[in-house]
Amino acid sequence: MRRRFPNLAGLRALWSCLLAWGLQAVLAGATARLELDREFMEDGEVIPMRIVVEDAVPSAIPAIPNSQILVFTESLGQEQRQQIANGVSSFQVIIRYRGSLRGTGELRIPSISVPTSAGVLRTEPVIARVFATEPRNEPVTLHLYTARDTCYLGETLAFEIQIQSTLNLREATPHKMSFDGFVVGRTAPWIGSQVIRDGVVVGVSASRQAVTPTKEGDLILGPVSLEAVAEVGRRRARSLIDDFFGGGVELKRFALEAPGRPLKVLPLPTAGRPADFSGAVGSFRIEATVSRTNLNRGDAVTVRFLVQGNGSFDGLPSPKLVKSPGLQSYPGTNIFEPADPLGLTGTKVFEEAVVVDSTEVTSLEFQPFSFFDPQVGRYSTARLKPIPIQVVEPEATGDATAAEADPANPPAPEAVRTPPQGTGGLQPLMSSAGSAISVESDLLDSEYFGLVLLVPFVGLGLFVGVRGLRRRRSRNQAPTRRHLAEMTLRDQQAALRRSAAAGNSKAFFDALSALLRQQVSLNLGLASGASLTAVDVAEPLREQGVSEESIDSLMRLFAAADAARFAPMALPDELATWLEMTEGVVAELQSRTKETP
Amino acid sequence: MRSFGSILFRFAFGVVLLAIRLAAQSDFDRGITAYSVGRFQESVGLFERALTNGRPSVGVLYNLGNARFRNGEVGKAIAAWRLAERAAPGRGEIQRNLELARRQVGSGSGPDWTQWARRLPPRRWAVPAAVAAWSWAILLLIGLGRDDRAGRFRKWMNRLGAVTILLFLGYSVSMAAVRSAPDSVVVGTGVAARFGPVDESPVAFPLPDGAEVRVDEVRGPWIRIVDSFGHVGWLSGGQVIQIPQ
Repeated sequence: MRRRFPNLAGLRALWSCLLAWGLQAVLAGATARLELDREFMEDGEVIPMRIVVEDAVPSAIPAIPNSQILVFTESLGQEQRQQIANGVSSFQVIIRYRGSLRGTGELRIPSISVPTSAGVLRTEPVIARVFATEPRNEPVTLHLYTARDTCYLGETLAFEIQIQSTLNLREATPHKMSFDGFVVGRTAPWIGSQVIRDGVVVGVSASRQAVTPTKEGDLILGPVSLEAVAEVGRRRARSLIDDFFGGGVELKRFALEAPGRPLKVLPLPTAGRPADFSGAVGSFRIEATVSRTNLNRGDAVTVRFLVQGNGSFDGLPSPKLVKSPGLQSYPGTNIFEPADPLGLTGTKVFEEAVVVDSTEVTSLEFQPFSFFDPQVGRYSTARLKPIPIQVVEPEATGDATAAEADPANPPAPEAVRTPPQGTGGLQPLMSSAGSAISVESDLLDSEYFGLVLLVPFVGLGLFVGVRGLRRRRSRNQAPTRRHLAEMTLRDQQAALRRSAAAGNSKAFFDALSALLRQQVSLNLGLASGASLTAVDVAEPLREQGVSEESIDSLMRLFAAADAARFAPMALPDELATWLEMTEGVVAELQSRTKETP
Repeated sequence: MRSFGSILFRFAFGVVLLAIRLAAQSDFDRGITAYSVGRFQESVGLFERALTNGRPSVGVLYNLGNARFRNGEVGKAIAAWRLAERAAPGRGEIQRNLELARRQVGSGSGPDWTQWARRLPPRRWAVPAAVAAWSWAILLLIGLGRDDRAGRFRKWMNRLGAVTILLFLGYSVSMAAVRSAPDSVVVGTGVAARFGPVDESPVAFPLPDGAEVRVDEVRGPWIRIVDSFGHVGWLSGGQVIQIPQ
């Protein structure tokens, strides 16, 4: 089987590829992610965690592995959520966990495999930071956490303030934050969660802010102060109305302060600093586009720079064009679209108006854009490819050369239109209409033409299939008497040829006699031809339409076979003649046999 | 008598056809003259009349594109050139004019990998692929009755098989490229795609005259299009010219 269809292995590989591709397509919509409520935690807390699976159903609950810091993790079960947004239905399964924190440092939860109905999904690794437990003298406390202890000058990073309370918090008013040596940036909304510490449920409200150091050295980020109001108990209500308006609750105002955290701000290294470094700190990708590339001299175009990435976008300088004679650039607007609430990642778009005042300008070239990447601690340079442009002299009218060539037919002033901008590169007209074409789609353009390509192979496959089926069926059938007789005839013919070639007269005439009787009995539909004589067969064969010449030859062959029983000696040449005559007669008799149903 | 009438009728029919053809040719030449002296609007009319009266040809469509472009009708010019390009994919002047117009419009003409399909469209692959496929199938059929495993016949059969597979792949990839390339051109200024197929639907994004888009769905007089940046919106059918693929 494998020898006859060697490409089966290839087909199997192709099928596997298609299957994998299909599976990939199915999996494309399903996602899984691991979520923590906060990025900053303290030693000794029992923290909630969850794996959110979207558009797939988990077939088993995966385990979150323990680590040096995260211990005693356990699953709390799962819940399902269905939501419809903008007419699109999505499905979520949330698997809840909790785990205890022991120790301080960076908590790194690796990627977790989630077996689902749509295949195995993997979560992204999650990183959080665990701090030492801070003293808590009051039921409501304020804390400040930073992602790192060191950073670079000009680098924007996030810090978080958390109000932790065992009481029901009513309101919180942070004081204006201003830290020496830092510029405070965007603030994210407050997010509430719960944590268990020493067996007590503690409510946590957290808010993140962006901050950028403006001077280097050992700085202190903080302190942060805040005023909060919390319920400390319930007093007996004087009336139903008093209770309705909250009069039955005893409130207490807390003045909270979180001490500052030391932050070592490193200067940007001088080693490897590009000469054109403009002060951008972060990791960025740059693209440049131009509104038009085909213009008349004096036209203005808009060059748009797209800076994407993460880092400090507030003071991000614009990439610049290389100055050249004939180019005048005018700074335009810039817009920042943050991708996260703190604006640490996003896209900043700078627009610049450029007037091209020379036809010598063939491209817009850009200065290298260098930035310091604090993640890797070195400088990088992004280089933009020049954008080719085509600048032509503005044309007052159409094709003046052609107009001069046809002075007998001058243009009518009212009919002449100013050509559109950028027609300088337009190719001349064709002088001949050419042969007629069809603009309509025909079979050659249609996907159905593929059938024309496939039909021969389908037909071939059908032919091979039907032929194989027939062969198999014929092999399975028992041989008929006629089939056996034909096989015997073939054997006798072969024996006749062998004996003629060997010059064995006796064997030849024996085989000849047997062959003639067998063939004639087959023609006449007799069970055996042993008792046949030449006289008996002539008339019936004549009735079957056998020619007189063949019947005559048959008579002679019968006579020769009979005579050979008494004198079988014959020369090889004579045997060859008899063989030729025999084969001619047998061929005609066989042709008559095939015509007989 | 009947045969005389038949001959007369045929003669008259031939004269009418010849007259139409001559008139079309005359419009074509007059269109060139009008274009040469800067009367682009008149030139557009004459080339359009040549197109209506005679049968379309690469020359008429190409010249009509030039005249429309000079007349400020960039979208219609691109449509005419694309029709000409369809009949003569290798013509350099058509490609250069299309590039010029596309640069001016500032919109792409589909993914880069589909560009080559414009020069080698499926119809260029179709006939060789069909001839090779049928020939190979016939050879395979003949080969079924031969026990010629290492012979010359088998060698030629294998070679033809390889050629057939290559042509078939070329045809398939070219067809896929054409199907994913823009098949329509926006004509007119101030065209804007809407979020839904109703007049009251807010504007999703503007489309410049000459923007090439792919028609995704047709719903009554509205069509859903995808522009070269992947934006999806609804346009009225009259705002685009569809190019047969």
